[in-house]
Amino acid sequence: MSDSLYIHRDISLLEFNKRVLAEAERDNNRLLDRLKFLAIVASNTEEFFMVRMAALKKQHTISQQNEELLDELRTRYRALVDEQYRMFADISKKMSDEGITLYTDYSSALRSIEQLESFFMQDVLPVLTPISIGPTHPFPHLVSGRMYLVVSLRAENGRTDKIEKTTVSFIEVPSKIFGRFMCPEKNVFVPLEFLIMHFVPAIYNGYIVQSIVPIHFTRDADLSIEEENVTDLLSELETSIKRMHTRNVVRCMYTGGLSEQVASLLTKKTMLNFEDMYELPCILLLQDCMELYSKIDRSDLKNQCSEPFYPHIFKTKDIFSRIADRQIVLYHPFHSYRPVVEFLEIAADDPGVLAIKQTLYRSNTDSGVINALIRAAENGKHVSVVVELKARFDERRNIEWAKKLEEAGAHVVYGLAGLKTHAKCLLVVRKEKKGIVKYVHMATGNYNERTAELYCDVSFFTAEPSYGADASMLFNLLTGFSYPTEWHVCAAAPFTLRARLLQYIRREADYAAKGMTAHIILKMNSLEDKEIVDTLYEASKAGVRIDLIVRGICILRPGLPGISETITVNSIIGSFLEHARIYFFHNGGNPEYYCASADCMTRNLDRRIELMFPVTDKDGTELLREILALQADDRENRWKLHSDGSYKKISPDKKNDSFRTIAVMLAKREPQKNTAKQLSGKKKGGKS
Amino acid sequence: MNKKRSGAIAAIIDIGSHSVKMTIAQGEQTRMTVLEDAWVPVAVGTDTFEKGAVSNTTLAELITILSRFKSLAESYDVKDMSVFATTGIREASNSDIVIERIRLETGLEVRLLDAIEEASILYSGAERSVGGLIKDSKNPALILSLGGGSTQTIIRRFGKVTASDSHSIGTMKMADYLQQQPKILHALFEKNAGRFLLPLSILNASYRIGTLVIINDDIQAYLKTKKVKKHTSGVYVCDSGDFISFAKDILAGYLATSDVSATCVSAFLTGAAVMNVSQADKVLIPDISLSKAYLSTILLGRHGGAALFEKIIKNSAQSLCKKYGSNLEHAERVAGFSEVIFNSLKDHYSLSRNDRLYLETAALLHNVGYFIGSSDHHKHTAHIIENSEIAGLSRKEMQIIAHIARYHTKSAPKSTHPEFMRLDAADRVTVTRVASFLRIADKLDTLSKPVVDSIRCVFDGENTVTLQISMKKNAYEMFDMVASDVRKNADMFTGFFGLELQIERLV
Repeated sequence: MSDSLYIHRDISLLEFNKRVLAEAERDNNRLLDRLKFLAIVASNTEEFFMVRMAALKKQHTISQQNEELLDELRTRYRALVDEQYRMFADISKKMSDEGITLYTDYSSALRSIEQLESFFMQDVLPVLTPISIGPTHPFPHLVSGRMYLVVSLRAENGRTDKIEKTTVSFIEVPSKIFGRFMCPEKNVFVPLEFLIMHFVPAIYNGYIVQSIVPIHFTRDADLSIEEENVTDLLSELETSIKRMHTRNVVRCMYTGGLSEQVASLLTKKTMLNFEDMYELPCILLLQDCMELYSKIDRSDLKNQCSEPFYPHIFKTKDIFSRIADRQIVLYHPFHSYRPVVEFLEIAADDPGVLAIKQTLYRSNTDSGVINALIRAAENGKHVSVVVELKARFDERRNIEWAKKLEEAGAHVVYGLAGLKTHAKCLLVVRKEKKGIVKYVHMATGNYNERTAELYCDVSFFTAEPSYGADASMLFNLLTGFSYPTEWHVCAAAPFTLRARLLQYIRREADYAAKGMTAHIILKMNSLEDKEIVDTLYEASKAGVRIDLIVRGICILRPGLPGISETITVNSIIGSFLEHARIYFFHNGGNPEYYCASADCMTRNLDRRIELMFPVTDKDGTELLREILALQADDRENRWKLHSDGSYKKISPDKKNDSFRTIAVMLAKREPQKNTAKQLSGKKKGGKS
Repeated sequence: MNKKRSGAIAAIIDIGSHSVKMTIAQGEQTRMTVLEDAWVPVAVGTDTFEKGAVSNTTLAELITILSRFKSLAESYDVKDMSVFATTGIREASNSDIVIERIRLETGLEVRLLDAIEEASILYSGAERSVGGLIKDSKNPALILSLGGGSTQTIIRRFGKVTASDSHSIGTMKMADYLQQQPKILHALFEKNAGRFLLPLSILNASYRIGTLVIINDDIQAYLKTKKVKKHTSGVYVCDSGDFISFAKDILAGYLATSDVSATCVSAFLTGAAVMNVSQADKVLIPDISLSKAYLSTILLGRHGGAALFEKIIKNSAQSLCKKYGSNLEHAERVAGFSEVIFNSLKDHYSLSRNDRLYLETAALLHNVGYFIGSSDHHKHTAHIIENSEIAGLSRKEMQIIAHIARYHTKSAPKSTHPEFMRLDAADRVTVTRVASFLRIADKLDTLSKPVVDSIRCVFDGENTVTLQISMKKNAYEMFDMVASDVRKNADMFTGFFGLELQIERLV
């Protein structure tokens, strides 16, 4: 099939960020949440450059391909940034109207800066290290993601010393130590770089400071390690992270005032094109505005949230027998994540539990999950943890956890060479009177209590032996104990998942060809795999109704005559990050529901260890059915993808806000007193 | 192997010719639940069959895998763990070193499973899963266990094992045939098929069989990937046409793309060749493996309980008896008398069920040596038994039975008998103890016509055993002669148990 049948994945990704950016302008998001969405877009686009643009630029360097695409992406990105800063100006102004001053311009902040002089002298100045360039001082390796001030200098006339002279110096802005925004008085915020810009000339004795410009580099962040030849992945990855500051620079952002001479020095030394230099109208790194969200104590300016509620079914002294009774499905963040952590905590102390096995992709600091695993290991349980060291951007944190767990006596492994372990699975092996029982938790989201408050994900508990057998096989595979044999109920990538998805899509096409009802609903983060897309096109041609709920990248073009007329694509962007992968197949009237850790992306289906599990329990499937139905009816957060690749927002109707209707639906399934109070609130801000 | 209590967990590690497998399972009443089923490929067989010994690299790999398997078993708190190895290590010239290195580095004791024991375990497993599917007809069923390094065959007719055999050729060695021209390749597989079907010649003039049962991992795995439907009992059932066309497709696929393993191709071609030669109607492929079958015998006891298993052994022994033209009626009478005497002392001396099994088998076979010659027939008997196979008995057990049968007459065991002295001390005691019953029983039926109608044996609980003999009508006058023969041959019995034997005529 020709490329015109597909939307380019990177263009689709920037389109997604446009939709997130629209949240920053949405009336029903309160002011500080709007600021937060700006921060999210800044963070997402940083990642876009670190990974996608880096890859495309590498390809371009090698094969001279992608020239047009790179230009197109740069143009779209510039438009996005313009829009972002237009909104930032608007939000800053509105904050000012609310009595919150955020200085975005150095010259207007002078009075507040003066208030911070003693703080600067006592705390900040001692940690500053100017790095100057000169004949014996080469251009420094500037670390990706950090802000530097480029100071242009001229030696004062009449200096006769023989000390080496310099014209350019760099100073790192130590926002990791002090935070980005200083607060000289309540609700007044001054970016840290303004302070340094103001006071730092004093440290350059014998020089006249001609200009000081904040800059920020983004480097290629793809840590590809040739694992086949690596004996110790942990130390190899540590070394790679330490060398990250030497990777190719893919973007440079700066604010006005950068001289042509310095700009050309930067491009020359970083081998960067001028097209990848972005001049911004005011402060850099809007992702740091997330800090303001937590620093500003104004609940009236933040979206009100309904607290996650603790599911009634877990209010029991014997969590094991509850799980043994039936499959349990939870939908976070509406359902609290506590049951998952408590299940682990109980398992860690339960005398009957022999072994706990778990995958860890991303986890949070002070994680209850990891603490429970450590306790279990200390209690003499066999604890095996498959830590994915290569979880992008979390590599450093995962290395720390891996070491902690090893110290506690857990058996820590780093998955299979060449395949990232993305499956979310927890297996508790318990010796009971009747024999061994395997308790399984499988999920669409990471074992991360913090993101579980912001991401919509499915948690699934069961003690059915077939799931236990599949979980065992997964862990045996990941820990190098066994090659896979036959999966009982689950499908795993890169072994059977792709084939199973294709099989189910084709099965619907067969039903449609026979004139029977055929319907597919796939809800995921990204749809990027061409084989899946082509098979969906074929199914559409056969007459299958296909409803896709794809939050992010979607390369499928819906509504193409004769190709995808029966396909709709919607994207839901709102209070929480849509993260659950739920796959529904009508199956001739015997509906099947699956949840998965995998999106329909080639990397997930071919280069990662992923797990897809069926939900077969009546309550569980009903819950998933309702979630999908409520999202299909959403008229508040839903964007519809058109065949030209553009997204249009569905005309708003607050009654049909799926984040709210899902919360209400879940609450109705609980005994009333449990949630009445919690539902009186409205919404919570979250990452998109 | 005694059945464990319900809920007991056991682990088996099977070091095969091309992979190491571990199964952890728990017994639940009459069924077994598999908790872990792990496997990792290791080329033990390639080393042994090509170079004669297991290489250091392979051994290191093997030790790593075994350590991991041990750790996995420990996570289930497994107390009952067995490790066995088959041809791949059994035939390696450095098998002792391999076993010792494994013991030192992992603490695991590897037991070398002999071919006959392998066959008996597999038979037990096969009977459990396919027993009900084999239609009994005049054409027997052939159970073909195709391993990487060896092949076991069991002939089953009317629910009874009638013959078993082992061959030191498996799918790994046969994979070499795949380099030949198609015509030669098929001829080589058919030649092997003929070898596997040879025991049928004692049952019928042709090689014809009704059902072929194939136990082979590669075939099972292939059928799984092809989503071939299983019978409700969890067994793949194919008619001969389907199976042969599978084999053709696999060979074509292998020659074109090599996307299936050579051992899988040779397993299918062997099955197809056996079907061609034997004209079997259908093939059954049970989802069993040596390790699962072994585990089920540990957790659930041998299929159908010990009684059924003993019956299978008895059937095999009867077939062997007939094969060597021995007088089965006499053998069965001797077996019956032996049992009566044995039972009288069984409780007092805590005699085991195995003792009784050995005694019965030896009784059925004690005269097969006449096939070679009447002079020293007891020694010929021992030779034939030692070199035969009975499904359900290990090589070592066959040696014990051979010696029991050898000492049914003539000299009692002596330290000057080198074959006897090569047995372990415990086995020598077993032979002496069990043969002492047989020597008495045999003398109750030495005449051309049976004269003893029945016997009773009464032990007073202290020092006297009274053998009460009921003579057949018209044979009362023979009592004294019989009693005299029995007394002469009771030397081992009285010597071993320190009992006095009184003989009375029961009127």
